[in-house]
Amino acid sequence: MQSHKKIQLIPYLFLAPNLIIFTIFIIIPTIHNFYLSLFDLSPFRPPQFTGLNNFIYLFTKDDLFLRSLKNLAVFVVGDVGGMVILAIAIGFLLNQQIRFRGFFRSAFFYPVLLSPVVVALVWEWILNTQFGALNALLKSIGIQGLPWLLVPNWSKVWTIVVHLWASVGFYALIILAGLQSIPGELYEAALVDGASRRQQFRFVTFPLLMPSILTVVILSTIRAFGIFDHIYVLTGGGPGTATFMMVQYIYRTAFEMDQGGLAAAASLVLFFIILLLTVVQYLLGKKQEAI
Amino acid sequence: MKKKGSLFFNLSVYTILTFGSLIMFLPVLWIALSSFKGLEEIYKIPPTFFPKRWIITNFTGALQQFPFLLYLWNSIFVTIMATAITLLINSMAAFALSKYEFPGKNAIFITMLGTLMIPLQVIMLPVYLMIARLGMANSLWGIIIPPAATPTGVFILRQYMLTISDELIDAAKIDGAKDFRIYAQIILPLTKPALAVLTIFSIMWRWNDFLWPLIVINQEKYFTLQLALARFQGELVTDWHYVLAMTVMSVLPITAVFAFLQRYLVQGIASTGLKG
Repeated sequence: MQSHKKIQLIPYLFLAPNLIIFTIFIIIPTIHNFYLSLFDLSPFRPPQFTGLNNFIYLFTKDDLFLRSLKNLAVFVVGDVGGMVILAIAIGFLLNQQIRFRGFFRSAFFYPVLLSPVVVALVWEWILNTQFGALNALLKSIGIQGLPWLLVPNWSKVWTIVVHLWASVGFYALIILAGLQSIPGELYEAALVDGASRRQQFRFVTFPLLMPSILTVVILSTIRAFGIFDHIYVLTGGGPGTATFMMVQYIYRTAFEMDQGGLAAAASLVLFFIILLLTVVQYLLGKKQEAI
Repeated sequence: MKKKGSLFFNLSVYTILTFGSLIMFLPVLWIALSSFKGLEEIYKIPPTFFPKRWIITNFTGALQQFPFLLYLWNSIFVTIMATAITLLINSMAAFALSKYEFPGKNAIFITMLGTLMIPLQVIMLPVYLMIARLGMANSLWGIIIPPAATPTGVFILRQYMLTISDELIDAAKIDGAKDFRIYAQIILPLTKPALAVLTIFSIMWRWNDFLWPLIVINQEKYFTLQLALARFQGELVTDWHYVLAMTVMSVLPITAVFAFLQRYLVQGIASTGLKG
């Protein structure tokens, strides 16, 4: 279809609906966000240009913001670390020559279908101090239960565990797909050369699985930084501010406190953290592949 | 790992997988079973697993106490409309990006891919301001439209359409087919597997969406199921027997979709998980 010499109108027409919505609701807001972050947008005053004051305020005076940043760092490390390890482990197990593979695959994937709200409700009920299944289970083996979501450190742990439970099936499937795309002849060749199981893993599986692992790391990092739904319903950011994350900070600042400029500035901070980490991970992955 | 493992190895694999599956399944199963328990049994210490007495009044009660059907309808409306619009505009864009050469093509495609790194969470305020300016705040269309032009969807479909041979198109052209007919009658039918994948993704995204509806909607008559569930759970005196019943009812449709289409879904994650 490249025979026409003059510029054709038709491909632009096909692109138009998607491109218009994309521009209005992604491109323009992304640019608008930079602009908003430079203003004091209190609903009681006219917008006032304040330069970088919002950013200075966030990092020097805004205790809640700094705490949300720290909480998020802890969450991301636990969540992404756990996700990668569990996804690889589950992916490997599901790749074995076993019966009921379809069943096991569905079992691990099923929670991915559930909405974050439902996931949070289910676990809130399980972790309930008095009526929850976990404490009852612990009691039956002689361990005293805890009010899990009311102890700051335990609530941090459980938000990670709950999010892992809900999403690991998705990442395990990515690993599984990566494993299945490795040609069987490579293993046969390795066997002929007398490679042990461990050597096969080290020199065949691992290098060829690297792109899939990198995908898991990047996707789960972006998602972890954007965490909101699960935690908002499960703990509401509490107890106190123990599980208060950055998206909740942005949501609260923008829509409950009506401090739009500050919210936009915080959004930009989050945006640049995600951008930076994604680029770094990508480059590290490239380097790894080169070796 | 194509060679048969030892007995011990296989045994451990089965044990771990079974144990893991239980951890994944039991919480949901327990909630589902609990939705058939009476209030006094729900609050029993220690909790029971299977209901002592099966009742369905939690479900009938929830339907009477809350406008559950309204929330259900809102969720269905949002999910179906959003998925239809997403499929249509994404496939049209993917068609242009895979089967035409035109100035700006690469720039557009790369910009779209770049925005994959900008989750809605990062631009929620300016997107909301845009919605408000366009008069779509507090409406179901406000939920539906903004995420419809998903770059993920365009990407999945474009990658698939690239594999469709151009000879088919040339042959159709010789027969006098116009561009829109080529799109609708040749490309779309051949793109079915990728469209199926995007359909399932879109249904999952939209049915389960929470943050965006939370921002857009503040009137109860526009609540989706997720908003309603979160609201009732957050109330001071939570009617847990109703919340459990509504939770189960909200999960049923998505479970049915999964049961029918899981083959495509697994393929889809496999193909999108692979880097292009």
